[in-house]
This record gives sequence, structure tokens and C-alpha cells, in this order.
Amino acid sequence: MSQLATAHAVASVNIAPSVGRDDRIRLPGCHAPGLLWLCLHLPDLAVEVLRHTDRPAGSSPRSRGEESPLSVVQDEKGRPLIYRSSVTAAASGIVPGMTLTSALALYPTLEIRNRDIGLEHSRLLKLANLANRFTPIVSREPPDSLLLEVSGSLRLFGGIHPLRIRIRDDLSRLGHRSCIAVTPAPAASLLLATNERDTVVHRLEALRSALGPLPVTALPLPQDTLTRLGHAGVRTLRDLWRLPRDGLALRFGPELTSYMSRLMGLTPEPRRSSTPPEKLLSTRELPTGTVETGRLLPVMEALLDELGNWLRIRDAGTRSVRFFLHHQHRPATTVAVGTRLVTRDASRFLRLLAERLKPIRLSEPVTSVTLAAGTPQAWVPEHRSLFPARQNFPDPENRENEWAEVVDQLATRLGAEALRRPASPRDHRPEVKNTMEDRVMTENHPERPIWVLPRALPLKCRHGKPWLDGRLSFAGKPERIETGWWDGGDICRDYHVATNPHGSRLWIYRDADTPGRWLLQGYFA
Amino acid sequence: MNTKLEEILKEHPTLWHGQGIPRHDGKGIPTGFQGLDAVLPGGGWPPGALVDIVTAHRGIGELGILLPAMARLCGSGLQAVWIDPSFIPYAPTLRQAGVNTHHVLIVGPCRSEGDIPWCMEKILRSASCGMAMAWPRQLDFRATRRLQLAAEAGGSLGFLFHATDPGNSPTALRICLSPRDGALVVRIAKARGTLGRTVVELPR
Repeated sequence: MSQLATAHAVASVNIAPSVGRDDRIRLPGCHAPGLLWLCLHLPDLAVEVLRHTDRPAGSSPRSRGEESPLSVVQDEKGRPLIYRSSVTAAASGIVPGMTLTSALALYPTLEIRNRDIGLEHSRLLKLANLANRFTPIVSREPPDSLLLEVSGSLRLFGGIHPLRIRIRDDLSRLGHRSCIAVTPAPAASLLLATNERDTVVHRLEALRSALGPLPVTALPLPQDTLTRLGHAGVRTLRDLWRLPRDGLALRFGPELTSYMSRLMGLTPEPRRSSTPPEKLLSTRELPTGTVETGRLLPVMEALLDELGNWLRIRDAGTRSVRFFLHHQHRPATTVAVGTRLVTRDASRFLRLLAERLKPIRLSEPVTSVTLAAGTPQAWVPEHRSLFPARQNFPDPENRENEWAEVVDQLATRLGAEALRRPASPRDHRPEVKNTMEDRVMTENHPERPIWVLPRALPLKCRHGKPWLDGRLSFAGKPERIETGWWDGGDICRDYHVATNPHGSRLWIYRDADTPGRWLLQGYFA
Repeated sequence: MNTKLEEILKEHPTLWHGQGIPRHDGKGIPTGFQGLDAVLPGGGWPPGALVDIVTAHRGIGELGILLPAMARLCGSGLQAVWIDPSFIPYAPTLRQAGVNTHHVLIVGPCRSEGDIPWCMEKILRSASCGMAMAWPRQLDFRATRRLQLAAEAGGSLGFLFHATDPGNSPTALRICLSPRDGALVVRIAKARGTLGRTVVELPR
């Protein structure tokens, strides 16, 4: 036994050095080694936001080759200079920083637009909200990049490559060209992506060689530092890596070395996460005003998609949405739909909306549509059974959910007040309608009809006998109902079961005060 | 009849048997009346189908014959829906018949005649629906066919009440009700799967 224990001790001693070696490989001061930062750079954002306002909503993005060349200009020191150009314009040699005259000399029919920073900003915010579906940590890097911490999302999306493809596809569907770089250091991801390098670096040690070929001029440092680096013969980052660190700090200042250690992931770099808005109030313009409600549905669908995304980020659902259809001169038309169960399913709201819009006749064209989401509520995902249920015997929970949708659809078309459950009356007066559960009525009482008239119908009398499609004859003994003296609605009635010549059985009564006046209360259907 | 043929007939329940005895494959929803179950193919109301009920006068027990089936369906958690009924279904009576009124839904009043088949189709198509009843004033062949298909899809039972015989219609079963000396006479005018034109008398 003791021998075994010694052997164990020896073994653990033998293992110890290799553990130590592992520790040495991990770079000193390295923070949270598991993090992986995905930088999403949109090189043409300035151009794309201006194009998007022209494009009619719902139309598919045209292929890039057909797009007319467009350049965005920005004033620098009082002179308008080219800021960004579309791909077609860039292909004819128009580069950022060029003067307007030289750009027009290269391409006389070039379309020139002023940069709209506000539009870029709001688009970036929107994209940050969209990116929240991939990871909860999204930070904006103005003017045209987003940083996503994706280490926690890899498993869900099946690895980094499927995730990149998915993000790129989503963006190209929205009409954006994108560059995606993934490294463990946020500064490195940002630098690689803004220089349009689509790279994936999993380990910090590999960062040096991945960043090496980048020119020094690409670093976001003061122009003065960059010039001096150039004079010292440092062209690429690879040259920079070869210089001794303390000498660099002395010659070029501490900003350079601190940036370099951030680039290598040696200094932790906390990022402020972009949070989704508290309230959702989103508006879409219509390309042309319309009075046809059917043409509003694609716009509403896009808005509902936005709602679904917003709810998914908050891990919530909602029970109602409200649409405002704006007109030029009149106050907006409001269309609201609600569901019985909390949902985040856009298609469910869309089906209800289609029904709600049908009877609406618009008197004036709609110019834009606004969606206002209802209060977000805790959402429980639908339960699905492991084995597909047979149609006639679905799970009780699925059945409840499915029935709730049917009831929603009925309520949307007919109005919520058109759906009722039969309720027991509180007392024996058949006309008293009350939702309260009744104990008295569970007693054994004489036969009651299935149909009850909402208001008793006075019957004609012939030869002193009640008449309805023929002379009525009585069957059995009358039943006296005397009640309600406590609330002023006191009754004292004798109820009879009567039959007419056609075989209909009726429930009729007369008041004790007015014995000659017969009333029909119901049918024994 | 040889066994091979019997096997084939059993395998294809939709195969028409001509003037045979109605088969009791037990797929029907029991009506609660033995006399009626005995003559209906399947031994009860046909599930996943429409039933026409023709009755010239109200108050002869035309709803009473549905109550046992309604109690059974509601008891198994399915819904019984009354679409635009002419009067109010009286809850104490339903409860006395054993119907769980939490599973009874009354829809209406409908704003237009077109709402009735629309509602009924939505309801019949749902797997949660046990039975739906409607009193359409007019319903063309195409609309009835749609309802029949919806009932088949949802596996639910649809009842259409008529004052006069609607003639040719794609429903699975048509029964005509009339009173006779305190009893209810059920005449089976049409039943899918049998040629029998039976008349049954049910006590009231």
C-alpha cells in the first residue's frame, strides 16, 4: 500500500515539469485566454447607406456590376475630398483623398454625394442590434466597424467558419459588403478587418506573424509618429516586431508600445457592449404612397422581423403589436393585433394582420408605417415532443398553443367580444347572465332546455291558450321559480313544458301577477 | 366471402361495400344512443367528417342527440364550438348532460354570412377541435367541400343544421329528424360507406 503511494508521488513529480512548460507557453499578463473577438468591418458603409435610401423597400439588392458609380465626398480643410467610392468607381481609379476635379476627370458621369454621418451612425446601431443575435457582447467601433466577442457562440453556430459565413450572408442580404477578421485581441481584429484582411487567428502566439505584413501607416497612431517610424526605415509591422521594446518607447513615446501590447493581446481591453433599446418603435418609409392594404404587408413583415430580433435579444415575447399607418394630411390609422399566448413568432402576428387589414378601407395613401411593440413579457419556448405526434393525438401543450392561435384568428376577424363561454347563471332566473360559478344549480332540478332566448318572447294567445305555430299543450306539472326578492329583480313565475303540433318542446312561463300573458323562454332542442 | 377478400376490405376502409351490413370498425364517435350507433357506419358519428342535420322545426331534440358525444369529446380535452347559434346555449343544461363547459366556445354574432364558413373552416382544421356546429342560411357546394376537407385535416366533427334537405352535398352523413309521439325519429338519408336508408326511433 505504501509502495503504491510512493509510486504515485513519484509519478506526480514527473508530471509537474510538463505542467510548468505549459504555463511558460502562455504569455505573461495575458487576460482571459478564451476570448475571441470578431471584427466586422463595412468598408463601403458610407456609400451603401446613401444607396439604401434610394432603393424601394422590399426590392432585392441589384448585383454590384449594374450599380452606377457613386462617390461620397467629405470636406477636409475646406476642400471636398473623396471619402469612399462604390466598387465600380474605385475600379476606375478613384481613391479616397482624391480631389473632386481629378475624380471627375477620371469618370465624368460620376455621381457625387455628401457624406451623411448621422445615417451611417444609425445604420451601425441597427447592425449592432442585429449582431446581437450572434453574441450578447457587441461593441460599436465608429465609423464603420463592430466588435463581437464570439467565443461563447462557436458551439451553437458550429465553429468559427460557419459563423463567419452566416454573418457575411446576413450582411450581403442587407446590401453590405463586409470584411471579417477574428483574433483573440480586439485591437488586432480591428486592425486586420479595417485593412480588409479576412483572417482567423485562434492563438495569441500566431498574432505576430498574422499582423506582420501590414504596413506601419495603417496603425491608428498620430501622423507624426508614423512619419518618424517611416524615416527610421520601419515599413511593416514585421520590422516593428524586430526592434527592442524599450528603445521604441524611448524614441517614439509610450503610445506606440502600449498600442503594440494591446495589439498582441497582452493588455486587457474592456469594451463597452452596445445594449438593445428599451422600447421598440421602428418606422419604414414606403417608396410610393398606397391605399392598398395588401401592399403594406411586406413592409410590416420587415418590421415584424425587427421585432422578432429585438425580442430574441431580450429573451422575451409579447402579446400585442401596434402599427401606425401615417398619411400625408390625416392623423395616422392605428392597427393593433394581440395574441392570447406570449409569442415572438413574427409569422403569427403577420397572419393576424392579414386578417385585420382586410376590412380596412384607407381614405388616403399611406406614406410610412411605424411599429410599436407591446410590453416585453417572459417567454417560454414552445415544447416540442421528441417523437412527432400523430395528428389526432398531439401533445396537450402543443394543442393548447395551436388552439390559442385559432382563437386569436377568430377574435381578430370577429372582435374579441364575439367569443364567449357558456356561463352558469348565479341564480335560477334564466335571463340573469353571470360569469360566477354556481353551486345552487348543481342540485337536481327539473329538465332545462338547451336553447335559451336572450329575452323572453311574448306569445300570442288564442281562446285563452298560448299559441306558437299551433296550439300549445302542456306536459307535466308546472315548476315555480320564485327568487330575486333581494335585489329588486324579484320574480314569481310558473314554468311549463309545452308542445306544439309540430313536435317542438318549449319552455314557457307566465308571471303569477299576470296569468293571461305567456312568454317563451327556451327550446328543448 | 373468402378471407382474402375480407382482408382487402379491412385494409381499405374507404372501399364501398354496396348493400352490406354497416361495419362496426369502432372508429366512430359513439352517439350515446345504442339504436343510432347500431345503424351508423363505424358505430357512431364519423370522425373527420361533416354531418348534415335536417330539421324543419326547432325544439324537437335536435341538439339533444349531440350532447352525449359533446360530453365525451369535451371530457377528452377537445373543444366544442357553436358558431353563430340562434339562441344562447344554456350552461346548466350542458353541465347536467356532463359537458365540461370550459371546453365549450360560442362564436358570434358573425357580421356577415361569409364569416360562418370561414370560422368553421379555421376551427375544424384545428386538431384541438372536437366538434363544431353551425346553422348556415346558405352554403354552396364548394364551401361545403372546403369544410369537409378541413374536418378531414383536423380529424374533427362538423355539424351543419338545415331547415330543408340540402340535396347533393359532399358531407359524409345526412340525417333527417322529426318528432313522433314524444319520440325522435332519425332517418339516415345518406351515409358514406353504406346504402342503408334506415329509420331509427329514439326516446326523448
